[in-house]
Amino acid sequence: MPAGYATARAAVGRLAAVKTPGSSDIRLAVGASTGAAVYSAVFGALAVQSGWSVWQAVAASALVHAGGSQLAGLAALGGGASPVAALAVGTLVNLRLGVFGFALGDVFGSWRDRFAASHLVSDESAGAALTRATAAERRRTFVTVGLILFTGWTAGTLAGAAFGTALPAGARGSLDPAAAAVFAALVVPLVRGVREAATAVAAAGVTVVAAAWAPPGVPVLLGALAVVPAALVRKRVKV
Amino acid sequence: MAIWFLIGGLAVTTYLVRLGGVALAARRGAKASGESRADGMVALLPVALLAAVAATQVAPQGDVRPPLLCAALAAAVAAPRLGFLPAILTGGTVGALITWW
Repeated sequence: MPAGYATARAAVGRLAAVKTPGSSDIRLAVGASTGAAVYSAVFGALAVQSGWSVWQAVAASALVHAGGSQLAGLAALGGGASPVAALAVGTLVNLRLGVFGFALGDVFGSWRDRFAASHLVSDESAGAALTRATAAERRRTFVTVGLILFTGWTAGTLAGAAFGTALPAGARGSLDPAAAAVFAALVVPLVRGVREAATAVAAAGVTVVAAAWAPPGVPVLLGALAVVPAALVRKRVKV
Repeated sequence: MAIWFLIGGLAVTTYLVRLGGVALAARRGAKASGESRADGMVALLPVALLAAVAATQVAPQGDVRPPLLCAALAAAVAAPRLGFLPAILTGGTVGALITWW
């Protein structure tokens, strides 16, 4: 067995054995992964309709594991863009994942854990982890939600790619309200005062305005800049 | 070939973006943990990020869609009282009903 493989297995083992997942972690994971599985089934169906093989669709979900960029890349390639342009579009959509990884902060204890767990960073896993108070709780929630979400995402893609023609018309449309509900339910527990509320409102406002003209992925990054004035206000108050 | 290039390239760039964020957080290091974690931008970053992602769900391409807004508001009201999963179900149901209606 190669040493690198053993090291990776050990790192994943440590991550998975952090603590027995709490029931609230499981509820978070089930809520997030159910929606993600349906969403990924839509991706799988669209990919096969666009000429991808079933295994290419599944490989995309397993290796990329980032829905927005997969759909953006698929649409760009299907629309006649060059592979390099489609890759650039997908990468742009995923830039926010770097900010989510940064926000997770102390969840990853060692470099081996960081290398092993980085693939699980998603809007849902990071968002769920950030609702927890301590580093240990964030780590446990992140790993639980991340692994279940990854499984649901990949399995959903396989189902959508294999049985896509049987998927009800408008499935994506009926899923959209649930996706909106997921992130609203995640952000509310984090709003504990006027400062957080003002930041959330400002971030949402900037994002909505930016979404009208900016390419996918950029509005979220611009919305995240709402933390800057909030931090400056705090700094001035402290002085 | 173009499809595999996209999949492989996106897998690599996405992993590097994720790892870059995590690595930056690690470089911030121990001095960012503890009390200082609650301060400044890093403490507010999750709020801003999640609010921004929620906004993109409610208003795709900047166009606010009433069923999605109602779903998000219903989930936001329900989350502190009922918990995460019931809040999603409540919001999703409200949004779906308004969509169909």
